[in-house]
Amino acid sequence: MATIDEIVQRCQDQVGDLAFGYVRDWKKRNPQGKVMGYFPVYFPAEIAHAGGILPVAILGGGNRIKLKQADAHMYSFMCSICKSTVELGLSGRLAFLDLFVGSPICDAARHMPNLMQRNVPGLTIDLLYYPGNLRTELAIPYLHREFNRIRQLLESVAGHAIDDEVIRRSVCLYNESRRLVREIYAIRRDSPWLILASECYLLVRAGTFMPVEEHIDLLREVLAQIPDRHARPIDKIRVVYEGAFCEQPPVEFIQALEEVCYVVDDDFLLGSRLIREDVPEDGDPLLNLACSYRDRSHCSSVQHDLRRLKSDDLLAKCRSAEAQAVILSPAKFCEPGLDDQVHHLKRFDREGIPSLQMEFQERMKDFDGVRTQTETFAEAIQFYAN
Amino acid sequence: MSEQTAAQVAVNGAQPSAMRAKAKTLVKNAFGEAWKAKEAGRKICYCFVLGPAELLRCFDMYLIYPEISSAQMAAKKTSLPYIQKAEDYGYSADTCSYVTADVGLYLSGNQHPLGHVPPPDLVINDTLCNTYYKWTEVIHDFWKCPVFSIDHPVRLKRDEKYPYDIEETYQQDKQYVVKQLLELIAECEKLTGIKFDPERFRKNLEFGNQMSALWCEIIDKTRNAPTPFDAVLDGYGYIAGMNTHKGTAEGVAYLEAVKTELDQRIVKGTGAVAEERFRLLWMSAPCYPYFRKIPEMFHQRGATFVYTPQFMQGTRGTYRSKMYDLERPLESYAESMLDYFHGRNPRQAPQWSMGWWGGKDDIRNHLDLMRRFNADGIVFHAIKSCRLNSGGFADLREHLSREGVPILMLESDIADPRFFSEAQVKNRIEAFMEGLEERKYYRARAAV
Repeated sequence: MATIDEIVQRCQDQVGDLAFGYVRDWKKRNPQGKVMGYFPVYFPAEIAHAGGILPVAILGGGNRIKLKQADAHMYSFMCSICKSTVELGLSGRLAFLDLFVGSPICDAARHMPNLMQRNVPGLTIDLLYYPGNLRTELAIPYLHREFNRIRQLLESVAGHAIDDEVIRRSVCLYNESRRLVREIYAIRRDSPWLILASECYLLVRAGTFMPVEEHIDLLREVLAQIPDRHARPIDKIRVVYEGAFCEQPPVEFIQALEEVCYVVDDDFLLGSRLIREDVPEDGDPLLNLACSYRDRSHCSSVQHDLRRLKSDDLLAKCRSAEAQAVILSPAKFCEPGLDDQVHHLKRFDREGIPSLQMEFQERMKDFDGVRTQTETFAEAIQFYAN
Repeated sequence: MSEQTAAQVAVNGAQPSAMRAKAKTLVKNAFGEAWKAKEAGRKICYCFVLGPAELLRCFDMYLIYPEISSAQMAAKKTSLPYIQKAEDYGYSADTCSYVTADVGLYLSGNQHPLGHVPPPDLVINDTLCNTYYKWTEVIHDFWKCPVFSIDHPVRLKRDEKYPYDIEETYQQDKQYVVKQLLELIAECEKLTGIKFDPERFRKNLEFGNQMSALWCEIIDKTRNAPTPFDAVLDGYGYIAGMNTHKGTAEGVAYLEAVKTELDQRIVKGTGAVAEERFRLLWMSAPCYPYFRKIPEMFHQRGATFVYTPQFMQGTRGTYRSKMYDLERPLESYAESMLDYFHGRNPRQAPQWSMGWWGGKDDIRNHLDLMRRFNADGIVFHAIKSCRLNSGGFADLREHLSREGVPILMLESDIADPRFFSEAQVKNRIEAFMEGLEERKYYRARAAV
């Protein structure tokens, strides 16, 4: 049996593979199988899974891709994930996709699918439009219809109908996967030395490109070994990280933070964990998914729901994780994240909880600055706070 | 005569549009009267220019337009201290400078260069731009006022057949918007104590239709040579005058006066510049902190702007083919919101898409505009802090250049003067204009 370290290393290799080797292999093993890509934050993967389609999150190119073509097609002040996703398309790396679904979650992401449509011939592209007014009850029937439209789209890719019963079975599987991820997060909150944030990130990230059944096995394997892991607590401050709901920082960035702090909760890969509870397993599955998106989800900077303040959500997260501080770290040029940073900052100032602000970029390669900033912040808390 | 002196004469030789000056007065009054309205007991509603002004006016609310507020700060060269205040507060220079200027306003006791702006009783969000969402959340953080979002789904233009029924999707989206409008009506009734009067709404839409018809006539006048007005320098003035008075008799009267003035200018042969040598399309909003300076750099070379998609994009509901149907006002109103992005026919991208939704149609649309306005080239103004406007420009440039369209890409900002470099902009404009001169010369020679 592989150790946690080996599993995590395997996930890291797969995540860093710009050729999407894992997915291409899956396609070879399943010659009739279809693959759909989606842009973050969230996609109801259950519907694709039910159709026998492998849903793959297209999360940009990280810090290993060179932008050879995208810069000529995209405006300078766009976030890195949009640019590198377009680069993936322009360079033919997404040729294995049978469908790509974008979502206009921000002004940059509004452009991206259209750019792909104009410049990546042969790639079928559509938009999933999430309701922009979650305060109203109208959002649910709207989203129910929208998920139904996506079902029709996926049926055309799969070449067969995707009926409710099959989606219900997929919902059960994804509920199990979400439960296991919640379990890992709970361990991190209780004993962060047993499973690191960077390891957890890679384990969750693996679920964005592998079939949920395999991901469940992987998570179970890890969970079974965590209690026996030899690790001792170190005197580090406990922080919650906020800002990576869409573009993801390099793993080295998370590791740089971890050299100094225990990151006890975060919003990395939020889309995979957006639904915070089980989706009901009986009844109309698409309606259940729509209701869960509105009423059982974590806050994100691109979900607009003034029934609840985003800072309430983050504060609750900090308190439940017994965090001493928060790191507010949106991606460079990420307007929703940058605006929310101020919203959180003011709230945490009022609550007397220290916060560190710093931007990241998926393309960054130098982490000394991150380490130094975090060290200074942590020392201020450890040695000078009351 | 030196080149500089000749250029100066050309600029000074043009007679400015009186209606541009009138627009300034209209906008100034709109701000100046806000406190009086508040004191008279009217509710203050912050509503974006693309928002449902015609509907909100049915409740006697006084409308304040946050974008116009920020643009006015910039045009009056006062935006920077406001923006810096917002940055000191925590906002990034990479976010929309309209938003940061607005935040600076709140942090300055709402003292705007055009008057003291009252805080909102209601804010209307409009999902046409994602920054609007965040902006209304920011306003909510400051003023703790109710926020109402009108959500209109956007669809990607597809060349191939959808596996689902596009028309059915459109009708469902429309009903979704209509129901939200009904919720908004209920909220406004509760806030103001004024019952919704469908007749009044119909009347406002009728004014809207009249404005729409006039506006379409006005923007068509730039097809004259010489064009009687500059699409940037004058056009944006007209838009501001119009947008602050959407759905009102004053708005109709203003556009009638604009049309009359332009007709007179055409009869007299008065152009936007003394000698029109080049006709250009301007893509995007202007650089408000240097509102006059950039167009004048073109004017000095005999170039003028004859069209900007913001004529349509910045003035929702004012396009002739989409007149409000007064027999079914709410539905028709909802359609105007949906059609803004993907047109009545979702297979056909609107002409003002600027690279957002139309796939290859966006390229065809730009080429059509070139022909329609007999233009010599396109200037893309990439706004540093506006990804919605500018995100598609680089790609459009790539495609349009391949079609032989002369393109100039300028970078600056809508409200932040720090992103304007006069020397750099001037150099690029000069190089572009020299290219156009050369092209003209060789074309003339080839024609002989």
